[in-house]
Amino acid sequence: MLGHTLVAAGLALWLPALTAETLDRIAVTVGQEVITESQVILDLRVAAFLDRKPVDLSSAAKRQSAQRLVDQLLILREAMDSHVTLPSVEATAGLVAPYKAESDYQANLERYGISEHDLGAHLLAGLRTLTFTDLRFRPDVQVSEEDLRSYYDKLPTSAAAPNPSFEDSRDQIEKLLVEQRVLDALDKWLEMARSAAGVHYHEKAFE
Amino acid sequence: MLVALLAGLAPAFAPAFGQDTATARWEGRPISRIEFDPPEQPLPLEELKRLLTLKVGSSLRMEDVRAAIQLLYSTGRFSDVSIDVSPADQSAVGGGIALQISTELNYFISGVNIAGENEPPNRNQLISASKLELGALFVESDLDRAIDNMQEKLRANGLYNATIQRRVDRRADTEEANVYFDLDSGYRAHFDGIELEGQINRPKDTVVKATGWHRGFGPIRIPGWREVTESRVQTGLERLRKDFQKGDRLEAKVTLDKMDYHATTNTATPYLAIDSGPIVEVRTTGTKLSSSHLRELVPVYQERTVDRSLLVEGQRNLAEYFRSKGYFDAQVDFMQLDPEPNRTLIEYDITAGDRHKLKHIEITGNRYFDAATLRERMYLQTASLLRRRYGLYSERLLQQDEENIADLYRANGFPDVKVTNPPIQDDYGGTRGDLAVEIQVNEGPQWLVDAITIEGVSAEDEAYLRSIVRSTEGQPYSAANIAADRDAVLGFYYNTGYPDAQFENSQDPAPAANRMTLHYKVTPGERQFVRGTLVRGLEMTRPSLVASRISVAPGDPISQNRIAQSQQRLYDLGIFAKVETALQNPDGKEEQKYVLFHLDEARKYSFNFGIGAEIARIGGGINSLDYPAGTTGFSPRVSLGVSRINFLGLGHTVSLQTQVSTLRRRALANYVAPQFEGHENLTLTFSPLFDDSRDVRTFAARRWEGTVQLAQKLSRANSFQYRYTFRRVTLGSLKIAPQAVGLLNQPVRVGLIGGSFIQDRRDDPVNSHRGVLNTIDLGYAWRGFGSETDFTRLLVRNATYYPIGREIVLARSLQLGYIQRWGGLSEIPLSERFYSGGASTNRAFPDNQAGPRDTLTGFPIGGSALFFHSTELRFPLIGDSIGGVLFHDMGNVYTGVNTISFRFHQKNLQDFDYMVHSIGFGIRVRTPVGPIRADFSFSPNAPRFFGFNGTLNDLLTVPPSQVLCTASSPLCSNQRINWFQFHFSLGQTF
Repeated sequence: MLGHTLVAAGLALWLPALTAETLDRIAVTVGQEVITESQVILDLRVAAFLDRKPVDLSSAAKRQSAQRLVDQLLILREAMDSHVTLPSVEATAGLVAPYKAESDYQANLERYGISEHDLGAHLLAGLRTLTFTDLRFRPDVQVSEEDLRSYYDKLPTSAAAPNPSFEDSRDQIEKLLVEQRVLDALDKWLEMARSAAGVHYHEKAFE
Repeated sequence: MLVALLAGLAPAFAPAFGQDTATARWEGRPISRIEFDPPEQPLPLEELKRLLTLKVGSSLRMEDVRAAIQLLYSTGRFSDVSIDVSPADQSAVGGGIALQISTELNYFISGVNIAGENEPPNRNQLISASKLELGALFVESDLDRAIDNMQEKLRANGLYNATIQRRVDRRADTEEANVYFDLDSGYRAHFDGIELEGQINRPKDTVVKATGWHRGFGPIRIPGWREVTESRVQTGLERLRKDFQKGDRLEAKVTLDKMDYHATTNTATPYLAIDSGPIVEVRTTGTKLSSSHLRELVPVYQERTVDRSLLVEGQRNLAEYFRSKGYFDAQVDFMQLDPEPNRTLIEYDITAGDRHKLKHIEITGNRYFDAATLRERMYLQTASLLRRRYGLYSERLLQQDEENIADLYRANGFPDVKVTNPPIQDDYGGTRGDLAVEIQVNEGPQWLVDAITIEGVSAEDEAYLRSIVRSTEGQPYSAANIAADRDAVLGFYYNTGYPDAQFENSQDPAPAANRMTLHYKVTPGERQFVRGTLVRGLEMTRPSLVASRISVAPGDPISQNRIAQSQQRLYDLGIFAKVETALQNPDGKEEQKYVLFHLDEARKYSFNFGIGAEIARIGGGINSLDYPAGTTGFSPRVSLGVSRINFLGLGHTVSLQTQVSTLRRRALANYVAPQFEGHENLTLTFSPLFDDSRDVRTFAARRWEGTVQLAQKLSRANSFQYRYTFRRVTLGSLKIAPQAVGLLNQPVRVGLIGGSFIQDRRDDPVNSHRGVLNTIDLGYAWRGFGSETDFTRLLVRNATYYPIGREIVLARSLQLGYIQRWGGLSEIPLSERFYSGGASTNRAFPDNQAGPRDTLTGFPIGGSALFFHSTELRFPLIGDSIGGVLFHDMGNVYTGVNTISFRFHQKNLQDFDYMVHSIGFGIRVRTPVGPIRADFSFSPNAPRFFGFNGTLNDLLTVPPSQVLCTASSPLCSNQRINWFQFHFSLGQTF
């Protein structure tokens, strides 16, 4: 019985190698640029590798990944147009190094079906996003004394564990507020850039 | 077996970790076959193969797959692309693979067609509102937006019940989407009243009247309201604003809040928000200024708001105005007061000062350009007798002139030029108030181009580019020349298929002093070619006619110039209301593109109707022998015309123009074949004519005529006309001696072959300032051509125009004519003779009154030769639109060429072979259709002649022996052409 089951299962998985299947297709278009379904899947695999989790190829996960890739594309475009200098490919080695030091690094790469190049590209894209955000939006963010005070005043208090004083919390609050506002600015810009670029999702890739 | 199964099973478990089954299975395997689904693709297979990074025989790599999808999508031709894989041989696992590339087509707008429109809005306004662009990607959802936009436009024009049906014709082979909108406009809504909100300060009736939305004629109101149209609404609002302004409510604001539509009555009520604002009074003190000038110069009137910047601008404009009038020291101050609530007073205090005259302009230090060249670019003008009695001067103009002169030097390689002026010299030449301006030019060294390098282009292109750039070795080095070079270089590449060409320039100082080495770097980019031309929108016109006018062919590099030339040639046919051109899929990255021509055929029929009148020395003598030289008369005139364009779809025009007046009945039909047989420079015309006229006062002529003419344009200036004319003329009401009547009043048939050569090198045919106009007209009438009489007719004209300074023109014209009879009738028929004199030849005469006259009645009988010469001095008189002319005309129509004489005196009352002179003065008023002309002339030797003191019946009783009047004859009286003549018409004399 087990033998029959194994043969049937083997045939079921072997047959696709003899019949037609879709190798790749357009997942998203951004103007004239294309993000393919295989790029989305690769992105999910690398993300899963980094998180040490099984790959999630659900429709929702694919859509989330596609949106991330769209955002990276828009950021790269904007950086080129506005001559913002982003980290170059040379930075990849440094980004990959911590993972490379792990003992099961190669085995994990193989298990997730990705290459070192894929991992490096993924990490570099993340770094570029961070750099762009810093260079483009951080200089414009200002936090006033009033903002700091207002944030501090709204912090929950309890008699058992009183909050540190405003002066002691000041730097931490400032950092937090700046980060928040930079991200807000990035979100706002991305929203605008997406609508200007003409982003179109091809639903078949997300089924 | 188990191992194999486990190997097969492995991918099934892999996804849990991330391995991709598809890519792992297929990557690295050799590609045996690549197919497309559908097999028929919009791009040729060769082009697709060239585009693809996937090649048969190579191993499959996912990055090649992605690149292939990207490249195919980038062409713009596909809305979706996917690649399927299967084993090339079903029985072999791990062998070659077959790739199937599936595509979905994009469609591009190849035309937006509107039918059923009820203007306004017109078809073009609706197409524009649809925002669907020719050649752009067609997106189905854009149609809803287009319909919404068009509905909004229709509603704005009162068509609230309009419905729009849409239809799209798609053609897969060329990926075209032709969009059709069928309109049912419904009935246009009427206004039904006006609702007013805000501070109005006047009766509602006056507001209604000001808008013009209620029916009526001027002050008389008739029941009912007018139809709603967008322009009527806007005009009404504008009129209302102006109406408020008349009462010094300069800041009045009138806005349309909403238009409330009532479906049951198909009417609309406009809701107007009116804020009449405070009374703003602008006045001047110190010096008077007319209110019209004040409104022109103080911008609060135009901007309808009062703020400091506008008041300062008004101050500056007023000062400038007075300075331009010679009050060069004029000072203007202003103050703004609010004497009472809701009232603002703006007072400009003008101190004009003494009036000056700009007497002299001196330019010093200039070596490279002479003073005349610099003066041509200056606004400052010295005082002249007629036009600018005080000259033209102000500090602002002086500053502008200095900048213009400096720019001229910089453009010619003098980057360090300095243009300054020392203080103005007053009381120049000892005359109080006269000014002299000196402009000092310090040229500095001239920089020249030492050498030029051009990178990034082929050797062949470089040779050509070197021939078109201005900045060649030894030429002035300047930013202006480099900018011109940039335009020339990019223009060359844009017109040879490189739409993305880029140009960069840099420069290095050369070893030699004041020399610069230029470096031009050109990046042509990808070359694009014409895939084909798509002509859409034709209904009646034959496609072959359009094709013959398009000079864009498949395989040619895409050239914007050629596309524009083709568009112009199509417009030149005169049968298209609109010719749109575009590249299909403009943003797609493909090597070849379709060029689209969308043609909107003009309306077939057009009608014209005109009413006019002629006032000249055309009166008297129609049914009598009075006034052989004419008296002031009035002739009303009605004209009606119809034309049908694009006859038989060939681009030909058939037209009929009729005219009826007390002097003439005329019907002229024309069949015009422009660009005959595809030859752009040939026009064939057939013209049947019926004309029954009395323009020559001696007889009434009824003419039936047919002409066929081929006009050939040799160049911009030169053209030929070849024609055959056949006519039959019957004369009646002859006012000549009875003895001659029998001979001359017979119907005459003339068949004439002729030709004209026209050379027109004038700068402006309507109002020439320089150049030459030559015409030679030669005709030969012969029995072989169907003529009853044989003669040759030659008419030569030469006119030249010379500018004197910037504004004065010396113009002269010479006309020579000669008729030689060869056989047939014993005399040249009356209707074929020269009749001349009048507004365009010799202003000593009323129209057609020159030359020989009947020796008994005194009426003109035409001549066989003519000579006229006119000289005009044309000059500005008042401002820019009124000019003056001093003229001298001389010449006459003569009995024959051998009797042409320059003699000043008339020998006797039956001698007409002498030179009649006239001098005079004319006024020209510039209008958009050419100058309106009024000429007053005086002739010191206007002809005298005998007239007949009797009726037409009396003339018949004259004994046959009496063919000449004598001073003693009681039937004859001395008459003359009036010494003074007045001519009024349109256009310059010549």
